[in-house]
Amino acid sequence: MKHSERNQERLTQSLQMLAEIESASKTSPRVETVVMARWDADHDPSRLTRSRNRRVIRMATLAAGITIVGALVWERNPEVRLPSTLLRQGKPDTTPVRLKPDTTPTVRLKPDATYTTVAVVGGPLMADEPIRVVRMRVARSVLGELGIPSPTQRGAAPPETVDIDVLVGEDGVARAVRVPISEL
Amino acid sequence: MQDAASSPDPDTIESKVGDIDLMRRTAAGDRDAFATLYQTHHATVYRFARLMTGSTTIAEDIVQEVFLALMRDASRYDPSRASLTTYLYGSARHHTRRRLLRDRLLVRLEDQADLCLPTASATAAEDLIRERDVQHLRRAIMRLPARYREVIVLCDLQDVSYADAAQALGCAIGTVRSRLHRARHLLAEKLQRGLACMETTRRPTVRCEV
Repeated sequence: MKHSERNQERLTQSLQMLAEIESASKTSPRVETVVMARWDADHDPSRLTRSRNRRVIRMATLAAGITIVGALVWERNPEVRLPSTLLRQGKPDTTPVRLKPDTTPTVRLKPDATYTTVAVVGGPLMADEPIRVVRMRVARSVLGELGIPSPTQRGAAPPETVDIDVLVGEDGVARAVRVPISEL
Repeated sequence: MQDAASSPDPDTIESKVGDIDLMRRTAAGDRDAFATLYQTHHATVYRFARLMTGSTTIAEDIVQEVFLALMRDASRYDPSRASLTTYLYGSARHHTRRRLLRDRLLVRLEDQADLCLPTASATAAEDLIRERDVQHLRRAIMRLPARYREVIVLCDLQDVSYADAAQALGCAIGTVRSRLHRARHLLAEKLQRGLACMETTRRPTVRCEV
């Protein structure tokens, strides 16, 4: 028998001997105790409830945060990009959408409408101040309070409401109110 | 010392089916199922870790880590990819490697001893010689590179088939075969060197003159 073969045979015998010895080895009961204790701790119902509560609070906080951020963004820039899923099903649409106040035909005024004299209601209206026009439908009696003559005084039978434009400055304060003559 | 080309054992198939059921129940939160899994497989993981690290304490830590990971990821186990035993070997290997990597800068006290054992044991009874040989072999295995040690531990000491070993180690069966061949060669060399070392350090007998 060659030297290397004798070595291999000796190695095989030694490995078998070691395998026999090792087959009897086991962990101490302490390990099982630790593992099962960990299982019990992880599957404790009160712990699961606490975990679920924490998750709910986290989700609610996240939702509140998103709402606040959304509101701030909307306030600063009303031109927002709506999620495509809200716009249509299928192909996503990434075109910006300009959100406007109520633009139903009943409120829309004619482009060539002529207006009454502007009634100043708030702070002074500066010459170069950019303003926004907010169209509102108000009770006709409001016109009287603003000092604008109402058609009821002229004997007509007008509707109970009237559409007016409120001119709002950059600071959000109303500067003036104007009423189309056709509404009077 | 067996080959992978063995026919499937019915007992093995039954145990695999049982393991799948136990894993499903463990994922659903069944404590008894997890306890049964632990009782069935902890010794296998422990032996592998002990032979790989040469330390009982570290092996017990690894058993703990493997079963805690199993507890967490029971729902992720896919029985179509590997048997639970192979899965556990893979997990044990991962934790062992991580542990060895972490402890590589530390020197264990057992490692301070040289391969050469005291010659007193060589002249003791047969069981002492046997014990000495086993210790010798353990040290030689511990001195093998990890990739060779793994195949020796799995295929020669744990009786895992080549196919299962390949799955646990994440390599091809051919790689397992070639590594095993190389590992045995290295191991035989180390053992031979150890014996030669022992012969040279044996003290000469001196006759006492009265």
